[in-house]
Amino acid sequence: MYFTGGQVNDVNMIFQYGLAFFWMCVIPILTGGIFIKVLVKHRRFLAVSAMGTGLVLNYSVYQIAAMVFILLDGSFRLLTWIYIGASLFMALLGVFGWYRYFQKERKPEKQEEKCRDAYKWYKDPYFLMGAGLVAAQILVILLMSTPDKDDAFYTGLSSMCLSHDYVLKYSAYDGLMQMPIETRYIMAALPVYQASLCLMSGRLHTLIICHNLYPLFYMPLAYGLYCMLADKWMEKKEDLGRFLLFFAFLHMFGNYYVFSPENFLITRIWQGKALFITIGLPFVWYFMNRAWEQESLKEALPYWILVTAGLLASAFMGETGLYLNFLVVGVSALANLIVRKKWKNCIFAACSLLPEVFLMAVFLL
Amino acid sequence: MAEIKESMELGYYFMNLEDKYWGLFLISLAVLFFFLGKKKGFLLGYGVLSYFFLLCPLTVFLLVKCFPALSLYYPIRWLCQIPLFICIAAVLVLERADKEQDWKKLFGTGAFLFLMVFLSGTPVFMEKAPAWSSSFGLNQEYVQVYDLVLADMEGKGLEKAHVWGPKDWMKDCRVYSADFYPVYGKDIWEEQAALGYETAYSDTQKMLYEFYSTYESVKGPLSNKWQQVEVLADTLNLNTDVACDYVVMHRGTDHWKDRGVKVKRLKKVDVEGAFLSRNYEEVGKTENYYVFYRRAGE
Repeated sequence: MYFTGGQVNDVNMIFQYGLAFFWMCVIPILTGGIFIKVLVKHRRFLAVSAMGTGLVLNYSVYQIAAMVFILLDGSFRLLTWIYIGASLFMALLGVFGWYRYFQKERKPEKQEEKCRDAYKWYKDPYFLMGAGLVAAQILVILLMSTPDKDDAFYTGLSSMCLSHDYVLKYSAYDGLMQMPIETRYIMAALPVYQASLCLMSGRLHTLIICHNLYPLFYMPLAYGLYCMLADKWMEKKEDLGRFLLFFAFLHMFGNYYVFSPENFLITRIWQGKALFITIGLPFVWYFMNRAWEQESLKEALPYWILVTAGLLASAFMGETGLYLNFLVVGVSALANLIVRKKWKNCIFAACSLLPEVFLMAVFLL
Repeated sequence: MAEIKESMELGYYFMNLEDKYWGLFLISLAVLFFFLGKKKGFLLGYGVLSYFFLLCPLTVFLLVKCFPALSLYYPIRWLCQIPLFICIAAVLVLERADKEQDWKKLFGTGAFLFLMVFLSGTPVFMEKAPAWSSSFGLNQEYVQVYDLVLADMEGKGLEKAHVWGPKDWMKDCRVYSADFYPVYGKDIWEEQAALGYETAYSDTQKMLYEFYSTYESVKGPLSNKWQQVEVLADTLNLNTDVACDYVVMHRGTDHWKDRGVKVKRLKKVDVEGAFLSRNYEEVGKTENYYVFYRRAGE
């Protein structure tokens, strides 16, 4: 089997899947350790929030690096190497965070607290049924592909980066290589990142990364982030199982519209706009809410850093994420001002948008 | 009988209504209203305010009305977080029913969930195609053809292949490998014309594109595919300005119409003969396709 730059056999593919798992799951979870002090406050969702945080931090770094490379007309492979370095460095920082966390967790009083707070999901039939539905959805995605005409563009862009060693220059539709890519696509580096994942996983085809590994790894993350968000508004910890069951069930019957959020989560989570709505938006929404809850500005600062990273990651996911972020932040600020009346936090909210303002200014002016 | 049929059609219409999400929105509103008394904190809180300001269909509708540019590419209805709020609401209903041992409310929740699923309708559609197979979910035979071309390129030491083939084949080829340079891209002609890039192609290319489309068309009007393939092979061979090293041809069959309606297959077209007699060499063939290579410098 031939494709862009490599040959596939079964042993090689197992190695490639292992590498992809490392870059898509292990590295984000390790990176999440950087903010462990903040994340541990919502202990029930530690794994989900750590992975979400790590992913968002990695995406933000990639977005900034990709923008520089697009402006300088740089090499795609060099971009990937720089990202690998930055990503490993962040993961190393995260490892220190995790180490300190586990050291503290060993203390007997922490163990007691942990047992007291623990939500025994394995005893909750609703949770098990909900998790079963999510697993069934992933299985269906893995066994039955979701053919998508957008592959010709998005995955096409990835394969062009791999073949021609540039970062987003020409439209993928055209073999004549003379149709420049639209500005709105340049601002979102997700297809380039997916091409980087192809390189970093030993040339696992981008179609496999998009159609199989993205749902496999990130659908549970998306459900987890939604659960984390919903958990804030539910009274009892046992409600989580019921929520998951309803939510997964509703998503299975969400084909009322081709652009429904349910359809997006299940069939095309690998696309930027779907990733934005299922991971970017819940992440920003949750941490912005947490930021407004903090009593002092000092306590709120790490949350606002996470919000800023989340907003940058949303821009990375799609141009829609870039311009809708202003609306998300504005609306959240307005809602919080009405409910919590913390005027000073508005400064942080405005500052969190500065990187995006800079990005837009670079490309629009 | 006619009335039953009519009502069934009406029901079918609502079941298939694209804007069914308005129904879901109304449900979420109704349930939130249900909590007005007991859950003031929830209703006035951050979540619901955000919901109404940003993430509900009404806001999206107003946004698109005020900023038509938002709907330029696609409707942005996917932003609506209706499922999240419907499910939170359903959980809160159950919670109350549990607390007050109110079985009527529990029954109401069941009915509500049933209605919710009814309104939200059909399961998310997925076309059956094995994704773990070597074809990555692409058409299996297309992948065979891609491999034939790529293997031939490797043998000849070529770095790129200017290719021409069936529309769908060309659409996916750059997804498979960017070493393919289709003469036209995805949804080729219409797409280019819409974007104002039609001048990128010569008149010969335009003509050939139309010609090939007719050849590809299986259910088209009565046509002489034998002559078509001869002309196509000639034109491609003679017009070297059409950068096209590799040609992928369907093993055409000539058709005729039976009583003006049914299309019947008549006879295989000699695609092989047409191309091999004109400076092309055969790279390989699959069940339905031939792959030819135009010899360089001739």
